[in-house]
Amino acid sequence: MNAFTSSRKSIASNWKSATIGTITVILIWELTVVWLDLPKYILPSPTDIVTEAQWRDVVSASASSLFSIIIGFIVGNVAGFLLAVFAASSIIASGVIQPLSVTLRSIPIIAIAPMLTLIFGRGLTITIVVGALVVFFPTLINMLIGLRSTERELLELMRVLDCSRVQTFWLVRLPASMPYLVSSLRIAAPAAVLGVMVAEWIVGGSGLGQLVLRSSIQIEYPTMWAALLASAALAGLMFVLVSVLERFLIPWQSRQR
Amino acid sequence: MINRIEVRDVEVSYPSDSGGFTALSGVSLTIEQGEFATLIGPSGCGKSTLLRVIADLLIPTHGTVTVFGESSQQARKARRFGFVFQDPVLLPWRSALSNVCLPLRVAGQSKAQARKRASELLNLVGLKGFEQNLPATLSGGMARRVAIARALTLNPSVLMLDEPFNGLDEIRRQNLNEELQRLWMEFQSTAVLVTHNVSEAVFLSDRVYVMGKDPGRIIAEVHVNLPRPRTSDMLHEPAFLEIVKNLSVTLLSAYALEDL
Amino acid sequence: MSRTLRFFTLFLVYAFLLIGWQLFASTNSGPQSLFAGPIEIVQAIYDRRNSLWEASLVTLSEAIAGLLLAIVLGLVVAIMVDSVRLVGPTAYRLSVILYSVPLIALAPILVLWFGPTFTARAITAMVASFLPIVINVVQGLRGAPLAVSELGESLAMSRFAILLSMRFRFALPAFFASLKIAGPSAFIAAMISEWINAEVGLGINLLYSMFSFNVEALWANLVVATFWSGVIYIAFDFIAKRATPWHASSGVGS
Repeated sequence: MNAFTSSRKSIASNWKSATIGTITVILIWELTVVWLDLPKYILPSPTDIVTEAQWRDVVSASASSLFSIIIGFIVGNVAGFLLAVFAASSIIASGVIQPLSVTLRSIPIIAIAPMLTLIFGRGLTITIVVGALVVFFPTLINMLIGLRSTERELLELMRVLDCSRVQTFWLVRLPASMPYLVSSLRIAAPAAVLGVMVAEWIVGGSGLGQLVLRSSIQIEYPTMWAALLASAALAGLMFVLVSVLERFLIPWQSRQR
Repeated sequence: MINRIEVRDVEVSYPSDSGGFTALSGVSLTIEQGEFATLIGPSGCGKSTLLRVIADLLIPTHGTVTVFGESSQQARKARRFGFVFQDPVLLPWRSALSNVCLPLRVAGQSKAQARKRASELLNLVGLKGFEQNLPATLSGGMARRVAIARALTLNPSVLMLDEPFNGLDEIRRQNLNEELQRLWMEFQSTAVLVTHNVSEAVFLSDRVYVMGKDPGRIIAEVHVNLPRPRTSDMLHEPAFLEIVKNLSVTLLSAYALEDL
Repeated sequence: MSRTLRFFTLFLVYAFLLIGWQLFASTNSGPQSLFAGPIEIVQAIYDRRNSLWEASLVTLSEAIAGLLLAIVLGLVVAIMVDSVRLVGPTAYRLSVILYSVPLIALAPILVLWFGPTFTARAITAMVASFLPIVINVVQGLRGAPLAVSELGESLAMSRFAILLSMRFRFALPAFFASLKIAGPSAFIAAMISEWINAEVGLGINLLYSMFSFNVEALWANLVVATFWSGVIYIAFDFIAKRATPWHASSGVGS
């Protein structure tokens, strides 16, 4: 994202322009709805949403979804990371996983959600499992690519210094794969949000996915819109989380940007 | 104690479904201790391959290499080689100092010891004050100096350089050549350089091996009897230019062996 | 690894997995069982082949329509980000926000606006797949050497002409690479949108199978969906290699 905004702007001025942008959008939205007299089922105005949505439900649903998202995100990434590390170090394991990667990439996890529901039954577990699975495969594949993509000359350097495989792994392969981990985290974050919400939509329970379904059935559009905005906010939150992780995982690159 | 590097009848070939490829064939040479030897030749003549065979980064399909009495593998495990690659190959997440510390830490030295020695070396290559810089903030020439400093940390018996100054302009290249000569004389190590720059080869070496390709082999040996230490003034002296001319002619014949 | 060895390993791995799966499913079989072995799945697919084909066509057409729209939208936004300084960053931020709204929340809104129609589903697929195209094309355009623009300017070409005729070539490898991500995304989004609004399609089949505990149908649809997703990816990988053979990174090693 940083490639697209002026890197000379400080964080404070970024927040400032974001706030101004948001306020402008809200104003335009309100004015458009009022001016065109749009019916509520097409587009409720911001005032309608604020006053009529059931905010208590929205907030508690957001909290529930956020919980599943974060747990799923952590579990899926840790599992993908560990499996990639294991696979990269064992020729047999990587020989098995490599050919599978196209298939693994193609399995639509979202489509597996119905299957998983039959296996695990309804409940919070399913939302976390789907969230974790959505995150697991991209991280596994990206980390595998990252761990194998160490430059030849870097590996030769390790041989000249007579480094053991373990040393080579810790000193070189692992740090060199961090940029790949970060880019898979960037993909994983919104995917986790979508995965969890899809699972909630199918399974029921207390999350935002469920709320969207319920409020659309009960024709409570302000609430539905509020849930939509809340879900976008959650996605934004995950994005911020990944940016923080990025600074932590690849500090030597972040400094340049 | 044998005071030389001996390469005997080395062959490196890669079999493949379509017939195979021979990178080196019947290569033999001897490098005396303390000598500066250079391998020069057209692309694909196997000079980098030969360098890697000596350093035990590649195992030849045939032939032997002994380095001061040890096999090349023993020498590598005893960390007798300092290798400078074509690309500086600095770890981007470590500072310059930390990069130079790497061999010392791998060899088991304490952090404090390593840092002390590393900063001495950075000072030696003229990079005092840049210890905390990340590679991304170093210029090409500076990164190469860090790479050289790193290669020297363990007092290697043999300094191997694979086209280390490619892509630099003439002035910087000459500067680094003089630095390299100074360091080589100070450390009294044996050096093996791969380059395709004739002037650089003559400036630095005691002996230049000209290689040809298809298959890769040595086609000529040129002695450079100029006095040491060599300076940039010498670059324009008749004696220097004469040797450059000889070497160029020999090199040209290596190119003529293939269709240019 | 030589090519023959690689194919052999591939074959072995899949054979092993399929056999293991079949054994596992056989030991777990029974009316309540949730696992179907490969043999049962193939049988289930064959039994339903007509309806599966129909459903596939529907979902694929939604995905393809969505992807085409995504390409148009993606290129427009990319050009804005690249060339129109005033609007560019805003356009990008709006795109990111739009893309971040989870589809399951966006799809019902689209149904409200466009009715329970094909259009609504295609637009859902569009939203899900346009941002990777934007990102890659902008990166690709940025990678075009400055000298190219300077060449165009020296020939007194307009900025737009330079963009279209010269700089865009440099963005082509990245563009095709983005389709490898955008394609499968559009397909999945099409399936999700069917849950909100459809009668026929692979997505809706999955949902119905779940609600009616029809394990065989569930597996059959799942396998077919995975198959199409893989085909889309491989197809774009192939196109990328053929369309930009000069570029080393247009293929992904797998």
